[in-house]
Amino acid sequence: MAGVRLRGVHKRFGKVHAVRGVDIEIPDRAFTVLVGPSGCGKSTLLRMIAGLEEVTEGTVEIDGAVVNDVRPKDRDVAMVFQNYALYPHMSVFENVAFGLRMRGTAGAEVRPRVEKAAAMLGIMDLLERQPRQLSGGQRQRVAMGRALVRDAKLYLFDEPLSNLDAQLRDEMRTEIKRLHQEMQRTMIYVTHDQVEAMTLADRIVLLREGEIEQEGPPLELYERPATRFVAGFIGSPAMNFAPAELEAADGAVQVRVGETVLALPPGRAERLGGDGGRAVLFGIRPEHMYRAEGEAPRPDCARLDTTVEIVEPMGANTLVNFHLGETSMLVRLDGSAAERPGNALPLDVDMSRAVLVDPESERVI
Amino acid sequence: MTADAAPPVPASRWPRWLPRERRRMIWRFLIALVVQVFFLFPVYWLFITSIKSAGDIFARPPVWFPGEPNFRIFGVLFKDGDVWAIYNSLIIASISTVVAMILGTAAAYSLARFKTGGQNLAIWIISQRMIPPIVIVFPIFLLFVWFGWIDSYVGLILLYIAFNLPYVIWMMRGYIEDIPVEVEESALTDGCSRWQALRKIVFPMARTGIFATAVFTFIFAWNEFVFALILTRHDVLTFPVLVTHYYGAQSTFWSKIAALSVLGTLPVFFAVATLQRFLVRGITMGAVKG
Ligand SMILES: Nc1ncnc2c1ncn2[C@@H]1O[C@H](COP(=O)(O)OP(=O)(O)OP(=O)(O)O)[C@@H](O)[C@H]1O
Ligand SMILES: [Mg+2]
Repeated sequence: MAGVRLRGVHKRFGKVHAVRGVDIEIPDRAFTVLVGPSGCGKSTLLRMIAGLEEVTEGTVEIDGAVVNDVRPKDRDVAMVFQNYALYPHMSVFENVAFGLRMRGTAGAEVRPRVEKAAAMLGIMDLLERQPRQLSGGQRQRVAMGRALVRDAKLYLFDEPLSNLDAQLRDEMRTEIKRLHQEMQRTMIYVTHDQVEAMTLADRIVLLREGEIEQEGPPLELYERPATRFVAGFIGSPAMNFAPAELEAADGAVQVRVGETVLALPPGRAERLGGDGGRAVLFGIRPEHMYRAEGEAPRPDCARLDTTVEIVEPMGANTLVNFHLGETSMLVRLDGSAAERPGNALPLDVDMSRAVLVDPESERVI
Repeated sequence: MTADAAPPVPASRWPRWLPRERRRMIWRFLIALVVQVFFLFPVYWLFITSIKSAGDIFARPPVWFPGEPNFRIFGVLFKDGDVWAIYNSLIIASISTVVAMILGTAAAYSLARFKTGGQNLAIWIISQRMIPPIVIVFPIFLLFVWFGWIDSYVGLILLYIAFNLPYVIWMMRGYIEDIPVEVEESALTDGCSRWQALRKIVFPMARTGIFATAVFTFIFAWNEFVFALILTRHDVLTFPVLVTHYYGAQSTFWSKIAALSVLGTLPVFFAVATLQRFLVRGITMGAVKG
C-alpha cells in the first residue's frame, strides 16, 4: 500500500531551476509514467521521491506521510538507475542479492529469489559474471533484476529499457506490464519514449522544463492534448502542424492552409463560434488522414489533393510525405499502398480529429 | 603404418613462434634486460658495498663480485643500536600514514560528495603542499621548542600527518569522484546507511586508490629529511638522518652507510611488493553505461 503525492515540489541546483512547482497524486498500485524531453526534470523528480535529492520546496508524501527528511534506506523504495549503477566489485548474483541481504532476507531465501528474477530477465547464465564482462543491454537487465527482486513499497524506473535492442525492449515492456499486474505495486516509470509511455501507463505525466504540461490517461493525452507541445510529443510519427487561418463561410467555419481550404464538421464549427479571420496552427496526425475513395469525402472529412514526394514503407503501413502549402506533412497509409513519388494522392482529412492551436498561447482551442 | 612415416612432432610445451614473433620476443627481452640492469645496478652496488671489506670499496679496478661476503657491519649496526633509527622511521611513518589516510579520506569524501567549500577549498588544500619545507622549518622548530616536541615521536608524527594530509585529500578526492555517485545511491536505496554504503561500496571500489595513496604517503614520510634533521637530536633519529651522521669530516663510514641504507630500503620494498596486487586499475569498470 503506497500512494505517492507531491505538493508544490521545487528543485533548484544553484541557479538551475530544474523542477518548478509540481503537484502529482499517484494512487496506490498505479503505473504512472513520467515523460518529457531530455532535461525536463524527470530523473530529478524520481530521485526526490527516492530520497536521493533534497526537495528545495514543497513536500513529498509516501503512504500519506511526509518523507522529506526520511533517509532513502527507510523509504522502502526500489530503483533502477538511468546509468545502471551496478556494483562493479560484485558478481551479478551478488548485485541482485545485495538489496535482499541488506534488508535482512533469510539466507536460504536469497538464492531462489535471485534465480527467479534472473530467469524472468533472461540473465540466468550471467549470474557468476562480473559487471564489466557484460554488454550494455545485459547490464541494464541486471539493474532491473536488482530492483525487481526486492519486495518494496514503491518501484522507480529511470529509463530502464533505453539500451536494449528493439525486440528485447518490446519483450521487457510486456514483462514489466505483466509484473505490475502480478505484483500490484505502485510503480513510477520514466521514459522519453512515448510508445513506452502509451503502452505501460495507467496515467501519463508529461513534463516540460520542470513543469507539468498535462497529465491523464494515455488516450486522453492522445485524443485531447491541451497544448501544441503535448499534441506534438504524444503519438508516433508526430502530429503534422501547418500555419493556417480560420475563416467563417456562411455559417460554417473552415481552415485555410495556403491555397487549400478544409471545412470543419458542424459540431466543431459551433464550438469555435464566429472565430473568423483568426490565425491558428492546424494539426493533424499522420494516421488521421486516409486515401480518398469515391466522389464524396468520408463523414467529417475534408478532401485534400496532394502529390506524393517521399515513400517510406514500414511493412504494416507506409509513410508518405507531401506538401500542404509550405509545410511538409506525413500521412500513414496501410502497407499495401503502392505509391510512387510524383503520383497524385487524394486524401480524406479527418477534421473531427484535427487540432487547432492558438499560435500565441500554444494552447489547443 | 609404415616405419618411414615422419615421426610425430612432439607436442611442445611452448607455443611455436613464427620467426618474426620470435625475433620480436628476443628484442623485447634484450631491451627489458638493459632497462633492468640500469635500474637495478645501484641497488646491487649498495648491497655489495655493505658486504665488502673496507679495502675493496675503493679498489681499482672495482670489485664487481666480492669474493667473501662479510656481514659483520650489519652486526655492528645491531650491536650499537643504530637500527633503532629504522624502528623510529617505521613507527613514525606508519602511524602518520594511517592517521593521514583516515582523516584525509574523510575530508576527501566530503569535498567530493558534498562539495564542501566548493572548488576553492580543494585548491587551497593542495596548495599547502607546494610550500618548500625549508621555508617553514624554522618557525616550526620554534613552535616545537615551545611545545616541548623536539626529538619526540609525537612531534614528527603530527608534522608528517599535516604534511601528508593535502596529498591524501587531493588524491582520494579524485578517486572518490571517479566512483559514479549513482552506485552509492543505489546502495542507499537498497537499504544501506551512509556508513554502510561507504564500507560496502565506496571503500572496495576505491581500494586501488587507497592503497596507492597509502604507499606514497608512507614513502614520503619514510624519506623525509629536512624536518627530521632539524627537529630531532638523538632519541628519535630517523633512518635518513642517521645515514648522514656517518659522513664525517675525518672519515666516512661507507660500509655503515651502505648497510643502513640496505636495511632502510627493505620496509619500502616489502610494502610495495605486498600491496602491488592492489595497485592495478580498473576496479570501477562496468558500473555504469558506456
Ligand atoms: N546535480 C545537478 N546539478 C546541476 N544541475 C542539475 C543536476 N542534476 C540535474 N540538473 C539539471 O536539472 C535539469 C533536469 O535534469 P534531469 O536529469 O532531471 O533531466 P531528465 O528529464 O532526467 O533528462 P534525461 O531524459 O536526459 O535523463 C537539467 O537541466 C539538468 O541539467
Ligand atoms: Mg534522466
